[in-house]
Amino acid sequence: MKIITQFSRENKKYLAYLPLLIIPFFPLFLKNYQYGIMLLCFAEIYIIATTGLDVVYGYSGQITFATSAFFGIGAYSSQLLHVNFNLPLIITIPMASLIGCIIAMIFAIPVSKLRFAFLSLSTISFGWVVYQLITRSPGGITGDYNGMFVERIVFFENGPDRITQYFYFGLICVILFVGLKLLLVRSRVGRAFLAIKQNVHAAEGMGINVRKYKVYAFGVYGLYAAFAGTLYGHLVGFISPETVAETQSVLFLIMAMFGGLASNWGPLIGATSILLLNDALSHFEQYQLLAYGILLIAFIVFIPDGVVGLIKRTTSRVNEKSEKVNNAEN
Amino acid sequence: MFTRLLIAALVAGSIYGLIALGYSLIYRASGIMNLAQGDLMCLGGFLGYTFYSKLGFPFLIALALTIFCCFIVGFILEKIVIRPIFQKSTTTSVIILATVAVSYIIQSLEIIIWGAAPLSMPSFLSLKTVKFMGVIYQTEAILCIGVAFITMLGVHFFMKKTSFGIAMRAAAMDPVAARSCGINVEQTTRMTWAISTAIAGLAGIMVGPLYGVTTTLGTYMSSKGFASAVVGGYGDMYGAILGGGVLASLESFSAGYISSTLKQLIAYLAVLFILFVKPRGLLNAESVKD
Repeated sequence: MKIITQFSRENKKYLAYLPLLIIPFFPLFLKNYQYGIMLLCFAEIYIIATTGLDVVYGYSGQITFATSAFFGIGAYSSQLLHVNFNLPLIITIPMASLIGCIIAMIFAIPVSKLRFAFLSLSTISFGWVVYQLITRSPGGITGDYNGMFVERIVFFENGPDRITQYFYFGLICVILFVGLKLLLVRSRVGRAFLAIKQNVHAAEGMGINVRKYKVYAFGVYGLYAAFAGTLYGHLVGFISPETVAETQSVLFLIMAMFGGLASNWGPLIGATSILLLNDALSHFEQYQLLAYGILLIAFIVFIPDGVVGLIKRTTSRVNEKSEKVNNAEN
Repeated sequence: MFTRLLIAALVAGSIYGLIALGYSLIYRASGIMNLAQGDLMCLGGFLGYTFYSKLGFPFLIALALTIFCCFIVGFILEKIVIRPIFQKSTTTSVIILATVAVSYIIQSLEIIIWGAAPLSMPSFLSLKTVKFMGVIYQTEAILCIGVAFITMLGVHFFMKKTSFGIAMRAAAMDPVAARSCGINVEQTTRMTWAISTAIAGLAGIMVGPLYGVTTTLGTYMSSKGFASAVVGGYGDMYGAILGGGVLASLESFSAGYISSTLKQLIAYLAVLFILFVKPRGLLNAESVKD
């Protein structure tokens, strides 16, 4: 309830959100450009994963290179459950997401006492372990290095094509998941996360059970990343160990940092921008990686706090200037 | 069988150790993790290939040139990329991301200049194989261990006995106190980076005849080196070398006695185990940032 009253107080800000109403109409504009709709679906998937990463890294300060591992866990689990236990996708997707969540929480228990370099290494190692397990699975059930074909979801037999249907499904998921995250970070739990990020010892001194909240943060992260993974698998129809590779984890980190950590819009802006950037750069072939590296450094030098941070800085400067003008006039 | 596994472990361990040494030195000096270390190693390999195979310099000259070039690269890296970002940025994670960007740039330059196909570096010794305790090895492998050993001795000597080395350690331990003693901390940090990259380049050129020269080796070695550094105790010079040996032994012996397909899995599970049980590493290193 508080959130709703808070929103109505900030009436003017509503207007800024109006352009968003155009989003559900995107498929109409892109009717003949299937690839564009596909990109939007990918954006939705990455937004969800990046949002999860934002919870554990942006809000709780736990750097993790394991995002693609959970992404893969979600994707592979859903398909394996579907194929081996004959469960319908509507069941396997939540199950796979929960598996990701639980694994993340179990992982977080010993990891919660690690800091910084050791934390990074443990998440990198976890990623490697998952990669090894996928590429050398018992009985080859995951298809090992070759990857695996995944059941594609079709919602309605008639009506718009599969990818457009997926876009709307993804849109609902995004609204749901991002909305939940917004509620979470405004709650006590969210404040505990921020306290842990700022200063673990002070947080403990205030009576926050740091270990418990770190486990929660990882749980949310695992849930979101795994869910995003299931969406990916069932959209594309094929998953392989490359999706679990460490380089993908770095990509997620870049998405989160580019958008802006610990912010509402950060993950959305970051995920979409980096996705589009990747797509644009893919035309450069060999120079793609070079351009990527250079852009990354430029980004770090000029906007280290992400796009959202940049917007905050410029708006605060504009506000300051307008206040000065107002004061000068009076 | 045991000796074969042991020698394999020592070879891999010496390479991991050299890279891990670079990681630990940089962590001590700048407080950050340079995730481009493995790619710098590969750069050494590529440069060595150019100097030795392409331009036909005698091996020792090629070696010296490679080390020198890598030294310069590290120097420039610190001066142009790391220090400005360091001064600008608040979070260290952003700086680490910068090192990732550097690794991308190095990889892409390698592909642009040398092509994406793996290159092979011919043996530089007249003796192709050597027989040791009944088993035949590539001479380069044994040489690797020797060179790594000498390098580590060299670094130890440099750090403990020469005044510049001591200055570097002082600056790493406490920059403010070091500055008040008249040590130019900027210079020592730059030198630390230069030395770390030079060591990585040396590792790269030694590894050339053994593993070939490819860009993908970079990321692989980066993770292995990082794991070794942390296992031994992050930031500790000797820990880096010890960690390299431990990790390589885990890999080698599990490949030999358990299963070669599972060797990576076992090694990384062991790393996780060590992290959970003894996060300071085997030699109980103090964290720079905590």
